[in-house]
Amino acid sequence: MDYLPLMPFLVVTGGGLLSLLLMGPRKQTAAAIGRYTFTFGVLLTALLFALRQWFGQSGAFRLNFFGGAIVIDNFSTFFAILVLLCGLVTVLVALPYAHQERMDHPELHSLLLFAISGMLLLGSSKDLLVLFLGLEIMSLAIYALVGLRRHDLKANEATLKYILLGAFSSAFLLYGIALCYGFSGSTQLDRIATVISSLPPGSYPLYLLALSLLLAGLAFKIAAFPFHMWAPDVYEGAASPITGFMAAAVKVAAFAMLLRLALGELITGEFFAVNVIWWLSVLSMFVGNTLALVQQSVKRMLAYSSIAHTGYLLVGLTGVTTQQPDGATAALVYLVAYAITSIGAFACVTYLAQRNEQLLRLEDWAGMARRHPWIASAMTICLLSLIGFPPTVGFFGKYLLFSAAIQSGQLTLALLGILNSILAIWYYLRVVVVMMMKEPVTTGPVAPSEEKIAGKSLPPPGGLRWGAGIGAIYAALFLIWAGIGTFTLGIFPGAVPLFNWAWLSIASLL
Amino acid sequence: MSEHLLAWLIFWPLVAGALLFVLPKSWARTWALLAALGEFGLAIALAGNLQPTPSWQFTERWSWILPLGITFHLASDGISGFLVMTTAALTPLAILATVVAPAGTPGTNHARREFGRAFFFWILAFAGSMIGALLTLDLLVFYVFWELMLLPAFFLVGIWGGEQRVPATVKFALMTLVGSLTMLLAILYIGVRIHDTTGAWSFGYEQALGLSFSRKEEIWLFFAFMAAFAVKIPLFPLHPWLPGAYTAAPTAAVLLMSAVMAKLGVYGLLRFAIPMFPNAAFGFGGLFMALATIGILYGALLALGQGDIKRLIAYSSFSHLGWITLGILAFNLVGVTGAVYQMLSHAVATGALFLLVGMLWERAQSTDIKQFSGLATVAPYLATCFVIVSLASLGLPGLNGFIGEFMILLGAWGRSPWAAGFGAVGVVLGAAYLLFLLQRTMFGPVKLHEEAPGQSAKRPAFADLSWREAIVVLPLVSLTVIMGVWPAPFLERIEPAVRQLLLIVEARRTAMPDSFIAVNNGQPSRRLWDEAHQGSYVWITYR
Repeated sequence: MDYLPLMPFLVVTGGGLLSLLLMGPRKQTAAAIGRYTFTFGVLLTALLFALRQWFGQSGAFRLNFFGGAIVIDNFSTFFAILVLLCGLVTVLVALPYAHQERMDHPELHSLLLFAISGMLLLGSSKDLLVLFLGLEIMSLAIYALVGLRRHDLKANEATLKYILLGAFSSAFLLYGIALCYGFSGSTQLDRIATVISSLPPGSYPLYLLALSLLLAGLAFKIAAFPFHMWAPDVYEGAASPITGFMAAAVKVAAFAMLLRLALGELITGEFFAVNVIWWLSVLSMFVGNTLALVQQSVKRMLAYSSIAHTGYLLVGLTGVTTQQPDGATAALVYLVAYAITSIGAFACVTYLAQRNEQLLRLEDWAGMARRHPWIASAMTICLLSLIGFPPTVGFFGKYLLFSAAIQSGQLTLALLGILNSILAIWYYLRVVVVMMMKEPVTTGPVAPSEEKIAGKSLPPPGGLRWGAGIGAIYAALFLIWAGIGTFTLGIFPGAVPLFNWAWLSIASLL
Repeated sequence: MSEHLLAWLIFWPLVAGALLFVLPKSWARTWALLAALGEFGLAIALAGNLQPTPSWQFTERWSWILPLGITFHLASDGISGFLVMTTAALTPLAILATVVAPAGTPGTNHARREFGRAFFFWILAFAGSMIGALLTLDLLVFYVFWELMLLPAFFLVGIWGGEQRVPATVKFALMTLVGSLTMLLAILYIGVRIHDTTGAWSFGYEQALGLSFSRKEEIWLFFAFMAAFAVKIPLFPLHPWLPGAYTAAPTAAVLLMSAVMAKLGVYGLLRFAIPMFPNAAFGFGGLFMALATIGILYGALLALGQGDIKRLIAYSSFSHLGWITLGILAFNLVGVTGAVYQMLSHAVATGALFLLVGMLWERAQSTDIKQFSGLATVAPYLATCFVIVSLASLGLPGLNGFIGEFMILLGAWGRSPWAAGFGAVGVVLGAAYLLFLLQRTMFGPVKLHEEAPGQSAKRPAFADLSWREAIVVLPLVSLTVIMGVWPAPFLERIEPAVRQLLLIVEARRTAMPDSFIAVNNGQPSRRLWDEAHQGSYVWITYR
């Protein structure tokens, strides 16, 4: 049996285990840089394997492993590439940040790698138990990552909240899996789908209950409306690079599962496929956007807006069937746009908030463009992409989502989506206006050498923020490039190949 | 290059603007000026080769996002060609009118922030995106450029604007974006309809014209498009962003905003909303005519009451745009042709007025009417230019404002004598506020320096036009005269395109109670005023 397609997963898991053994001394800068190089190298190797898998095949492919429990197809490879890209940028942003904040713990690396390996597993699982395994590997690592700023009360609160609520949601999910096994006699998605299709439509109570519980568990991970309570506190409490990673990669991985369930004919029938997801989508959009309107902290604002983006993504999922998968393709493109944008936005937040994340309130950002013109421009591009402004990829994604919704007859949903985009303009543009147009309140950067955190004086930031800067500018360039839609320069995908790849991924599921 | 002329016209300013960031800072203005002059050369190549035929010219088509049928379908005709020409001609003037000096130097345009590379980048991007919106025939690409054009205006006003710039910018951006997102929904709906009808994705203008909508659909779509266009024009209840944004904007930005950006609203109405939804346009034409007429009168009345020159001209611009909209909504050849001609002459006259106001600001650090008196004695050349463009703006025969205004009046009379009558009152009011302005600022006793409170010693002497300023203003002043005396070369290229457009509208109109016929004493044939090139007007029977 050829295990080469599994290499990304194996490399990342192996790298995570190895980094536990090779922790090295905690305090030394050289060791810290060595650790980062190692993590970066592991992720890059895994990415190269994933790219080789994608480009080594012509057209769609589907390879089953372990009796069909794990499948490597275009869909899973697409998600693997996306998650690994997010991981790479996160490492770039986190290195200088962690050093500057004195949270340069060796655990960061193994936790990050384990979280990514869980995501990779989640993307390629075709069995509910593997799904649960992947979800838990990812979640446990993320819980710990959130609490990495151990001297910060907010981080501790966030971790506790996340673990408690996350445990509940996992229990829901597990119970749902058990019920699925109960009525179908299997945990494999294909078999369950076969059993469901033989049921009289929507009449089997065990199926309804099982699917509700499964959906509740996944909705928690993507922070959809009634299960969104944890998101603002956790996003605010976690260190900014980790928040970016969480906002992007966790949502990507959970949506991978959701899409696989929807296109694997598990989420079927009028009630679930249309009504439940319709309401989840609309309520997430409205709740996220209205609450984001009143936030004063940029990080909290981005957290609430990420709830709203879950809503937009669910627009694509409403009414998706194997006969009409356009919405799924649109959701995939939007997912790429959202992931890169939020990583970029949080990289900018990391850069601009300075040490100990002290400049997070909106009014602190007044005149930021004078002090950091490039990063402020990158942040502006990210925010424009979140608004869905052309020519960024955010516009491309939103356009695909709404036209798919209109095409499947969901005109009201598209209308509500546009209405929400209008709401969102207000709070995103407010950041741009404050950064670009208001006069700075204080002159010059906050004096760095005098602050103390938990009794320790910190070294001045110096040039250590470059990583966040590079990450932010990289993301901003990507956003514009992917929105313009050419492939002539060859390095980055434009909108056209992005759309084609998303379509190929969805096609490999049908 | 000639076969990709339109693509060059769109992308050259964007590319040249991006190059600014690579070049040294001190070259910024020179390079921007050269780039804008290059753009002007391209526009001359376009306008010079524009044939007086109704067909699309310089057509080029390349696919952009192929699987979704989004294509760069570029083409020009007499309507868009001249608007492109106007944009390209005004851009170098806007750049030349901007004085580069360290922030805070007295005697520069709103000098709070230095006019650096970013400023010139946004000016060039503004021109490029507006030209893109004018030349594209794909609805989605049109939307992309339509949205793009907001960004430069947003940053130019918000970063380099004067007092009250932040609230003005936010109001402007929010109102515009709400309108355009509504239009996006309508465009997506049309795309899906094309897909349902033909089986292939497309957002092409011609495919959209091939669709037939139910009455209800058509009304919704028409209003969704109008939401975007009426904010940009602006039509009466949607104008609150205008005075603030125009007053706060730096000279170069307000020049492009008033001269071109506002016209794009009218252009969208003429090119997209009316031909695609003719039944709704005719059905609700009366409503929008009423709004336009209210706008004419309301804008003129507000202009009468202003104590600030820039604000006064902003309101007068609002009033004139109502006049242009009235001409479009007349739906006949003379009215629409007149409206298109008025778009050009309004761009020239209002552009020149805003430039001159910017020069006054540089001299006095204020645009308060009370600060100025007897300028004709102190600065005779400046005052002469001001008087000429003001007279052109109020529609003095022999200058360019008259031709368009007269044709619009004729056209509007054919459709609704009421609207034409009230509009004519607006002309009188327009003459009133401009003449009062001239009387109070240009003539009268010289009191400028003595009576200015406290700072007369610091202020530089009130100079007449410098060479640079003369180069900026004189082309526009001479254009007002040329366009007023000899409109034929413009009209004979505009008219075929307008005729073609009206033919499309007629062909797409289904049976509707025809108010047009009722207006014309129940005569069965639809009549259009036709404009003969010698300047006399003759009746022709259309169809």
